[in-house]
Amino acid sequence: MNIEALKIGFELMLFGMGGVFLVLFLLYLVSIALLKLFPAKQKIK
Amino acid sequence: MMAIGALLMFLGIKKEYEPTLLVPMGLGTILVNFPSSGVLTQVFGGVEQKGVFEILFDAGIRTELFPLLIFIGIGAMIDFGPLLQNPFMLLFGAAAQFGIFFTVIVAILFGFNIQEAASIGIIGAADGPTAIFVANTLAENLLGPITVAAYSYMALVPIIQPIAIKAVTTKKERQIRMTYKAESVSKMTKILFPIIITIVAGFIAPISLPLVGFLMFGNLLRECGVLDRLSFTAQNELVNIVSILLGLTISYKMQADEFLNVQTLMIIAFGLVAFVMDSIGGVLFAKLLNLFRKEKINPMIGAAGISAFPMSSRVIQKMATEEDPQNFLLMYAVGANVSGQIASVIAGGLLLAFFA
Repeated sequence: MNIEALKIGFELMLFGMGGVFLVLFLLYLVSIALLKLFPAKQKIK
Repeated sequence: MMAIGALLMFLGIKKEYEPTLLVPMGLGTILVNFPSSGVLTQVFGGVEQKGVFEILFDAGIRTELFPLLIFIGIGAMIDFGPLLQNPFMLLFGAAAQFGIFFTVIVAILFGFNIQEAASIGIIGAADGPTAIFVANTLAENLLGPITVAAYSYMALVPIIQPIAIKAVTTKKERQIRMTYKAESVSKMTKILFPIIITIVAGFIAPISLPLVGFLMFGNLLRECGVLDRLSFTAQNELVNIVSILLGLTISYKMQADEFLNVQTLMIIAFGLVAFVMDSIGGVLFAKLLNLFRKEKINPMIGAAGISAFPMSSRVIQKMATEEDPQNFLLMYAVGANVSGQIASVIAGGLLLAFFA
């Protein structure tokens, strides 16, 4: 087993999951802002 | 290999598992495995004549043109409405990418180098064009088995996900009801959303821009309201034509000497691990959130955060109904599922950014 590759693999996991959560969280904030800034005329009930 | 080609066509035609890819790929597999096949480069009378499959491969896959063109069509098919009605669902798309990175570690443990492991992991994106795009960049030699695994498991989501979900949830958890509350979404929001996703992705992982940009361009065609003709073409003619070419062209990598080996079997097995761990990652994230929330989330929603749309959301709704006929989770599941379509592309881009 290549310990060095495994270490890079865990770094990739941290980078990847951290990056995906960061981007999606930013998009969550953007979505909230867009919904507030440009509300639709009628609310869905 | 001819038997494998026949099997791919059988799965596509008889079982209807991703027929748009598996049928052309199945016949293509037969074509490339004839000795001295004319679809591959051959020497006639001392003169090399390039085979049509290699010409197509160089033009459409090696340049990554075909997966990107398909992304325009997919973007035009995505309706972000259900996601924007419940933006919180975005986080489940992120959580359900866990299988990608878990599988990278597993592949390394079995002796693959880091680029190959990352390419195998991307099967867990549950998104064929992203898998092709990333594998072609990082480990072109594994493109054939990765494509077969990615598309096959996408078709098997209705079988894989219920088993994975039931393994990590109790009946009581699967019965959790969620009251449907939705924001209505304005046209301006729908237009700005794909543009902003492109900008955010561009700042965080600019190497992901071909993937994200083409996907969001397709969505902008759909939502802008003045390009319906182009949107229709992207969703139909463009996707259909490129799918024909993509399926045939990928089979260039289905030649016996590249495909028939232990690595292929391992990749097929790791693909299953990726899909299972995607679902488990999403479910466990939902359970984690439930520790802090008053209004509980049905943890099955987490599993809908994979990119396989709309299969995954349908699976979740079917499971919810089986546990409680009055439980209606579909719109939440669709939101998480659409989020998975964004997250898988972002994950693919981040994998490439890591090696850039």
